[in-house]
Amino acid sequence: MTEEEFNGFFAANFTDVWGFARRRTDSGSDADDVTAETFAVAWRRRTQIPPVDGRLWLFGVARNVLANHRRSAQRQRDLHLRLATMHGEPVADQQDGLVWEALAELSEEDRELLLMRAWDGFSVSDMATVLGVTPANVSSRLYKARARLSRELERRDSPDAAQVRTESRGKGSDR
Amino acid sequence: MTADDDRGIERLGALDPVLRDAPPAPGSARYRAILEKAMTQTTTPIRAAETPAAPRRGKRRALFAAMATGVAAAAVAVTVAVTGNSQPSVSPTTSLPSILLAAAEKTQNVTSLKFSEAVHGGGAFSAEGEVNGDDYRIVTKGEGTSETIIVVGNQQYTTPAGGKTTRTKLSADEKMVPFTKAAGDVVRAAVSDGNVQKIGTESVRGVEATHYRLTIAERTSDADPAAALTKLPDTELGWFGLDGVAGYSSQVTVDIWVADNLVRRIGGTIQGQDPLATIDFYDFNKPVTIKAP
Repeated sequence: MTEEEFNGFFAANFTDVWGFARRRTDSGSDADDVTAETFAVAWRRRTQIPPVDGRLWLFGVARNVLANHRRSAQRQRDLHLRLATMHGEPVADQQDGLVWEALAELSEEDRELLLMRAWDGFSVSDMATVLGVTPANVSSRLYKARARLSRELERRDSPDAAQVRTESRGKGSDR
Repeated sequence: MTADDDRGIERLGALDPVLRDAPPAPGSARYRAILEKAMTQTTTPIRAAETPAAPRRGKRRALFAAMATGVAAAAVAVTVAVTGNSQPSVSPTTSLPSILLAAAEKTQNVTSLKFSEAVHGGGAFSAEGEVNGDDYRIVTKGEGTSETIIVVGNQQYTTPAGGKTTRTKLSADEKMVPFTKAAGDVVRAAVSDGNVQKIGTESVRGVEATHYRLTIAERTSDADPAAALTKLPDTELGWFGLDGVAGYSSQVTVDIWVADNLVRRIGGTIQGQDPLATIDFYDFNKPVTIKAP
């Protein structure tokens, strides 16, 4: 891949990669850093970028860069959740807060799939490529994750929701 | 798939942070800066030269809570995890990995201990704790305050400095993989990568201990071969600040100090980044009483 071709690759994928990073960091500035590092890896490995699934390959790189970014900053493992609920991502209303609480009750694996679907708009096939597993695996896990999210939302939407919130402590909560 | 399941995804979608924070416009100064950074970097992580952020208390609480919970409970798993059997033999001329495995074997018999993390980081964090079986007491300090956590059975009592004690029920899935299993798996993974060094002999709390270093080479992308360490779950790696190690782009070292076939200290570094937590373990099998406040 020549420099000119890489510029085209950057332009074609910049918005998606930045969004992927922004959804998993606490600020636009952090997303800038993660995006730059992701494309830096791509630039170093430009001869190895798959010609067909280059965009999804980038997301795989971005996942690794994000993991490094979180550790280097000594952040929480579930940073995106904590930030959204405690550190600046405005919670528009009580209903949004309930969704965050429900999400925090799920496992990290469930959350990753649900956010890839709801925020990144990934198909099952896309997720399988990014995660390095089979589409059947993703499909099964996503199905169960959606059901678990639905159950958690139901609990919080019910009249007994206040008690649910008092008793439970999510995996993404500050413990 | 039900309509409720789909509605859950829709409600989640409405929380997308990008709906409130748009990406830099193509051609803008930020856009050009990101492109320039990408094409001028070599192998140095973008944040490597920046001042490390102070560790956050939440993670530390979770770490020490999980640490104390698992020490005794999973000791048996260590030897199995590391060696694949319960009767490893150690001869005077044994290999470095085998020495570490022997330490894992003896540590499996520990039912109580104390641990301590020295003051470090911008927040001057430190911690002291004691464990008896599955119960434990931990005092963490940092950022000018402190907090005491006591866990008895599945009840956790948290008392901030000058504050009221709150009680919380812990569910089984809130716990990390037990510490000793995690330690064993980390050792096994590093050993399988064939990179163990003997650094020398050092004093750990007055005990002469042998210092071993496990080194994991730099990995910059998915295209590089994955080290065995990267295949461990974060619930094990988190003990040592190595969670997310699959994404590292710098050399990682894990340091282990062994004396009398017991693991006395674990620490490590990520090149160019924050030091990992260094934790001492001592007073093995001495009486410890943990009571609810």
